[in-house]
Amino acid sequence: MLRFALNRLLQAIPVLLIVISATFLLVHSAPGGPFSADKAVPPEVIKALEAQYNLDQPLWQQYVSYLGDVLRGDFGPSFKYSGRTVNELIAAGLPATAELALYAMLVALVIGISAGVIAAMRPNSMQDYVPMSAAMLGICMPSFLLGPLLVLVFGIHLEWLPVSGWGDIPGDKIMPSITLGTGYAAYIARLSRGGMLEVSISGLYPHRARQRPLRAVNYL
Amino acid sequence: MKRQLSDLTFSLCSTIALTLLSIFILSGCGTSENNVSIGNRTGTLHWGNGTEPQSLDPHIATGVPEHKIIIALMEGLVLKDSKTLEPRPGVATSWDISEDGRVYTFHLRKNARWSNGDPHNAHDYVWSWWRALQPALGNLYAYMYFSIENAKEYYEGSIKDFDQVGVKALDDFTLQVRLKNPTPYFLQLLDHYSLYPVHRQTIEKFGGADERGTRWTYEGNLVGNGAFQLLEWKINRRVVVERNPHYWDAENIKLNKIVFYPTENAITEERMFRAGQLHYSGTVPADKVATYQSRNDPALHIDPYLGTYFYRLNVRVPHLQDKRVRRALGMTIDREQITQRILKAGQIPAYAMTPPNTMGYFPESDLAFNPEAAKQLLAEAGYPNGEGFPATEILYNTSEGHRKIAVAIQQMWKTHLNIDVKLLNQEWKVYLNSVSGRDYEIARAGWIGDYVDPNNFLDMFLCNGGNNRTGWCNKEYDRLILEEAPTAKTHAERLAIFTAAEKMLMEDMPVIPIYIYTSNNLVNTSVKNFNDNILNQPSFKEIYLEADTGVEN
Repeated sequence: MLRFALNRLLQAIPVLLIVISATFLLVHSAPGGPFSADKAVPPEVIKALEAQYNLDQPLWQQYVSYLGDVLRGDFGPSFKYSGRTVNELIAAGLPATAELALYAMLVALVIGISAGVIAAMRPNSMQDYVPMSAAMLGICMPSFLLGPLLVLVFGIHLEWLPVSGWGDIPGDKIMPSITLGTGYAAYIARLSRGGMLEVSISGLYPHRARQRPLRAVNYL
Repeated sequence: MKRQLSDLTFSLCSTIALTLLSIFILSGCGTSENNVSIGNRTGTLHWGNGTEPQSLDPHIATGVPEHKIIIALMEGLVLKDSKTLEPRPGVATSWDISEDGRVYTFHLRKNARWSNGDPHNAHDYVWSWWRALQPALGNLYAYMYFSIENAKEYYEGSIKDFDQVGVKALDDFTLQVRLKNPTPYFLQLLDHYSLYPVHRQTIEKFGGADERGTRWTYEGNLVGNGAFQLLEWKINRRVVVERNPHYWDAENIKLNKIVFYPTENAITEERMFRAGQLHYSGTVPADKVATYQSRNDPALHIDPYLGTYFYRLNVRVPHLQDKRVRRALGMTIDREQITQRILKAGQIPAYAMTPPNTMGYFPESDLAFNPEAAKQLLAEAGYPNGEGFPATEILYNTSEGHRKIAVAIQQMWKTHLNIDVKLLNQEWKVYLNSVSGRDYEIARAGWIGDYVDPNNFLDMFLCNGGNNRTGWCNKEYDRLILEEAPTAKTHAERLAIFTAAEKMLMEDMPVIPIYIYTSNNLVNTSVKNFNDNILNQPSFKEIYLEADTGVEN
């Protein structure tokens, strides 16, 4: 297992190197520069700016120093947001992304497993059809549709939840988590229903099933 | 078994229901409190500000979202009246202008302070303007200084000694500015953030004076001289400013706080406004405007904006060298169709470059939609009924709005002139490169005025104007703009010179004006003293909040 993981990590090195080099060269070969603007910029100013960001050095030198910085985990200054470093921008966004992913996963698991279990308890009855149709709808409904719909109903008409923000107003994390989680909940619901039924059909626990009537709680 | 199953179903359902219920209780459901109603009580203005500010350094920033925050944090010598845009005292209480209009003497107020309590005086301006003209700083607005004697020469490096630049502190509270030529709009420039003073000690504490991207504008560091001071700047979340107790006019400031929200997506911002999360949104999605208009919503403010949408024609391209061809192209664009059918937000068809009523200036132009005359002109130029007209491309930067307009114009030229043009879209930076390198035939463009004067639109097309980019050059036009207009005796005489110049520009037509922009704002009715003006510049000093009694937000 450890060997496998190590192997994978070593394989990632050349891949990352190729990706970094390719993006570096692509960005350099694209027309326009970080300092081109709508308003005319005098050439002296462009020169002064390029010197400040070391863009006046030969390409290979820029590449080597960039690679060195990346190895040290320093992605350099942002060209767009004056004074910010790329690391700072990532650090500002990453916690929110991680938090959202966690909540969405919780939503997916809670709704998905509950719906799957409910459906599997009485297969081919209304108790099965209703949650499974809902799951089908969840799979078909993309988040860019569900999001605005939730906003319209709970944000604008009912005014229960804020329509935007993250950690600014109480409750503003609910709708993003539900929107992102629902699609996965639908998959999980179908999986857990399938898993439950498989267990009962394949008879993993035939001795117990024979001893007493099949009870859903036994599975849980 | 049945009973047990339904028990389980029941318990699962009730768990889910309870969770949802507690979520709603926690989130304060049922109460009608929102940002707007709370803000009205606490004096906090919630401002939808478009995108994340790229910089709050007044000598580096260039965008509109940055502008809105900077004018809350800093102030120039002169302010503008929020309705008429006439100059009003800012840090300077009064000013004298010499007979020849070339020397301005500003008398600064003695009680002006920086937000950390430091005294604020005339020397701050000399140092700040020196900084703004350092090439290494990369100030894209340096040209706003070029009416000052030797400022351009200093910026471009032909003069090394800043003492030769026409700005001098006569004493702590008197600042003298010498201009190259009489510049009737000079006071206008002083309210532009690129001429705002900056706090020397703070900048030097965090890096070199001409160093870009130091941390002096960050939360906890920034020191300004405006009505508000920076309290918080969370990337992509909010910028919060609060009253500056050291501001000279602090007792007349009514707002306690302003929260600026960066919301990239205009649709989201409009929803935030509707849900009462924002008092103001400056980006109304185009297809929402009609909805607001149809129900006469008092929140919607549509006003002319000091900006023109136009097409540049590269006059070096052989078949565009003939001005008859350029005129024919200009005369077959049905601007009413474009503003009414495509844009639909009150935009004004443009038949000249300068927006009407720019400081009392109304351009005269003989340009009109006239397909018959245009056909005639094209035939005279050697392309009867469009025959033999070379393949031509319209270049625009990738955007659905620009594409729609380009498609409409392509169709109009096909219908009226029987010529085929192709559309070419490029990403913003690539497009900028093509246009500045004059590697295009026809290119979409927009120009937003920096100050309210026809000069700001017309001096673009001087022979060596950095933003000309059409290759058009007319010595007589240059003479009118550079020599005649600055020395005009009266305002009316000066406007007459601009009228003559603009006529010349429209006769030669190196640019085809299409429409005048409008500012579309959504303003909650509890926001008082929000005065619409052609610069779409709010005066946070004057704004206050007052909930309408009996009306729920």
